[in-house]
Amino acid sequence: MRFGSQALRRALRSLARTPGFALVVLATLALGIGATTAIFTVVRSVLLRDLPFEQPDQLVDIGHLRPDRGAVFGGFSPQDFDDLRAGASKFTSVASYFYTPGIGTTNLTGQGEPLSLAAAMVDGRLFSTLGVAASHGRVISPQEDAPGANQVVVLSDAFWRRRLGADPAIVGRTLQLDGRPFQVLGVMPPSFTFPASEVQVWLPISLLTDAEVPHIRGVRWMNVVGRLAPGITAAQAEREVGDIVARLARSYPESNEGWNRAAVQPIAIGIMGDVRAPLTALLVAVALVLLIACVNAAHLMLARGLGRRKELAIRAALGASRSRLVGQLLLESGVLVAGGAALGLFLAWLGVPALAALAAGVLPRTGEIAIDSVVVGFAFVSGVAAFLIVGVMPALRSAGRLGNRSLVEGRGQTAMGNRLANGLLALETGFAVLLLCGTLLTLASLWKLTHVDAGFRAEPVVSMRMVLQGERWSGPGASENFRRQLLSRLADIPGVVAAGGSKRAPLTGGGEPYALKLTRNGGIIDTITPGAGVFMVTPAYFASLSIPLLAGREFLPADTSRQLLPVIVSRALAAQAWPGADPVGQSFQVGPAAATVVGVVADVHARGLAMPAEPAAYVPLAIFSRSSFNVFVKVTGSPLGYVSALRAAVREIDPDMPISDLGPLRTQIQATTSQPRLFTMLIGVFGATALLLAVLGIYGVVAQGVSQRQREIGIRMALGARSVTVVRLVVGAALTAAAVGAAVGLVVFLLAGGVLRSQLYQMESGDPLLLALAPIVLLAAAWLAAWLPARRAARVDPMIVLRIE
Amino acid sequence: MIRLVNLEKAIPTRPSPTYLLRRIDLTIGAGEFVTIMGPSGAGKSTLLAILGMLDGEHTGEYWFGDDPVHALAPKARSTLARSTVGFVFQQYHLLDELTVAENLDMPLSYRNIPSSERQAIVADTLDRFHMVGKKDLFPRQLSGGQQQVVAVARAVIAQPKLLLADEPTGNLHSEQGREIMELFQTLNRGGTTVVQVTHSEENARFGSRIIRLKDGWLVRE
Repeated sequence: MRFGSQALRRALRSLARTPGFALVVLATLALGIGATTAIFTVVRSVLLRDLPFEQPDQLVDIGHLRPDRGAVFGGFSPQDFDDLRAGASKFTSVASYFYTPGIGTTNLTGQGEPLSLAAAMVDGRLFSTLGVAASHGRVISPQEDAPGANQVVVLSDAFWRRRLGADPAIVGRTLQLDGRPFQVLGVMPPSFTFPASEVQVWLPISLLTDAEVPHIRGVRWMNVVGRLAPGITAAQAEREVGDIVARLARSYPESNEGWNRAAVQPIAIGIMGDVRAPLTALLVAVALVLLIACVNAAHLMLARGLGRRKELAIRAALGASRSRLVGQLLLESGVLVAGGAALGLFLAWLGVPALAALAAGVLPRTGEIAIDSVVVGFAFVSGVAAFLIVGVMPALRSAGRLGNRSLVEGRGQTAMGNRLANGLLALETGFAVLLLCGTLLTLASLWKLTHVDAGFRAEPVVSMRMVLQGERWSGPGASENFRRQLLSRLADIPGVVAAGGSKRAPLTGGGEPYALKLTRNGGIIDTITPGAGVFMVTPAYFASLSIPLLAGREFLPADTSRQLLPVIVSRALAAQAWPGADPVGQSFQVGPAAATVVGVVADVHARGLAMPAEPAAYVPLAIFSRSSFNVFVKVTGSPLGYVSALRAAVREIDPDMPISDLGPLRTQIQATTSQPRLFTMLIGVFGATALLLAVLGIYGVVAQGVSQRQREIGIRMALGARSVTVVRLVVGAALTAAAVGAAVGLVVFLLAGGVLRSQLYQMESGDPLLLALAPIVLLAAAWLAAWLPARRAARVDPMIVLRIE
Repeated sequence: MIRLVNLEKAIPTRPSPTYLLRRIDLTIGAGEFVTIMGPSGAGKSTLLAILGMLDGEHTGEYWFGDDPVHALAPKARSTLARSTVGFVFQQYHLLDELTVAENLDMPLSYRNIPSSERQAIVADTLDRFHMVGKKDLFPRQLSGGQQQVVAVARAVIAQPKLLLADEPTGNLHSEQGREIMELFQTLNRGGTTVVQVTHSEENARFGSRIIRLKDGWLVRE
């Protein structure tokens, strides 16, 4: 014990003698371990930690398997769901819910500024199926999910805290939602964010009447979750659900044709969405940063150890065994690694909340992101791994073969030190190239994604969203009157070019899945469901978003008759439905209504920039009235200058109307690419850090080499070497090692880079131009990093060889 | 061949500069074998570095043949040195990670001689210095005497007009030292001008002329 504390004291004293070295190693390791631990915290919280449900492995999403679209969840009609619940024996319970981001909202009034809340509509069995209880009060029961008893609400923890000041007496109080009083039943725990993290309230699904969404078998809008009965697998359950939906398809071919196969998958897949691949890629990226940091630290340790050969030789001559010397060196590196790991954990603790805030709305379960004992264990394991790299090899090398030569001159280590240093240099170059390849690919992918021609122009457009729901808007023509009044007022604002609106904003999802029945001579000849769906829009919608009108006309205020429904189709739908013919004037049916094409517009990316522009149809919002209302105002000059005018226009008509997302449309569009932006930003930060660490490492290796090779360089210069020859010699050796590392890194990326494929938009993970660029960038940086100390080498005074005499 | 006129070398110190060489006037003819002697700190190595054109920071004149070395730019001076001067050091200064043949090749590689020609010259030199059997050995595998033979061979491989040696036998026992001195004598007889720095009176006797330095001054010949 006493020996141990003495050795520790000696190690600390030894490190204190070279504080600059100790600080650089400490900072390098802290940076690497801190970044890795922070990303691991996110990965663990989002992907690895159990979902906050009782026995989450028993929970499954239940959906359909469509030959054209793959697995579809959220495709049950109320009737299909009732039949499923009645026939399913492989589940202890099944429950339904309805939530569409941006659409599922309720208006809160009487609590300050009117607010549009993200609301999930859930059936009375959802909470018990998931196995969750409220943290305050209770959840919605089946009895409360029934007309007459369903004016009840459950609040999210975040909404309760931020908007209601964590009022402890909230349970039992009343909130005004869509103009009606709702009794607060309870508050959910912070970890419960089902089905999406932005959900602020849960309401009984029975509140959705036919006015909101048709309750007919052919209209599919319900999501279904189920809890498997003990001993039942998802595959067994899928077979049973498959039998049920197949039977429904046979019984109701008119509405259920093509909905005859089932898809049952663990609920975790749906909740985590498509974040598994990017998070895994991020973890790999940050691990590479840690490895580069370790290699840098290892080199510093090695250089320090080799510089102490004479001291070690003296110790050996005085009787110290090799194991004792190695032990002393290991203790010093152990102290640094332990300090680095502790500091790294502290940095992660500081950084994780910022990371969680950055990821809010982009990743699921961000409210659960926190450092726990497993994360601390991960930091410890990272530290042990770092110690093996940073401590062991340099200690063994530094204390190896200590002879008289080391005692007298410390020579003979230059070549070995250089070989090792060049090996480390190649290693970190390889890691950096790996990361740089990924960085460049994701950057290029994001550039491509954000430069897709979406089919409309978001600049200069101001947008806002409102939800016209509640009794006030349920009267005939009430919503339409509001929309007309508002658009008319907006159009009169000086500087406004066009003001239009729609149920759904572009890039945020598809339209409604209506089937268009093509007719000829009164008979149906074909049925087409437009890939992007059917969109409800107002007059001037296309003008406000600068969507080119290719033929015919836009909707007019007079287009209000259901008798002859005017429809505008996209170019792709026109080509699909009436190839080679003039689509304007063509007739078809939408449900029971006869429709005529009055115009053709350019294709628009409806479901997101990364998705193709699919065929779409547009119908007047005045006829297909919907509560959700997105407004687009094309202006001259800066959109920000019109924000207050838009708000005032709404307030003049209805002071209690909540307005959401008021601002430049460009901002909303950017939000649709927030996940690739966040992923690219983090990968970019790691790539830049890797490049910086690699450059510093190369600089360190070469500078150390130059200082160790002064004698050799002096001899070469005394024997006639020119400055340029010396620079070439030094830079050449570094570049050769870097090139070897870069080549290996490139090969590894070509073999393993496929992990990034799912994150790339219209890019191949083996894109030759970008993959060539990565090593070029790195070798250019390596050249610069080697050239600076090489210049110093070229200034070595050849007289040094005479002074050594 | 070499003419030094009122040559002085000083390093800046406070309050006044420290002189390493004072008012040196010296002429060395082609084909001479000159020994520079003197106590430690007398300025022997400094003079050797100036003669070898490694050090151009001095006053006075240094003429190498018709070339005014004192007036040459550093680049021109090192070009002249490369084509005219060979060095032998007390510590041999062979490069540890190069073989004997590679050490010999090194000065040639700095003189833009084609590779095939260099190989021939190295082979010829190995033969001339009886080291063919050792060409693939590394310096640490040779005795001190053998290492100095390689160093001498490396110094003369580019056929310099002037061979400078700084205590060439300082690390050798007497028998090895004598062999090296005989080698210098042979090279001198072949036409190479030799200037050596030594403390050994016995080694000095191999030369044709002795120059003595003390405190930077040329005290007598």
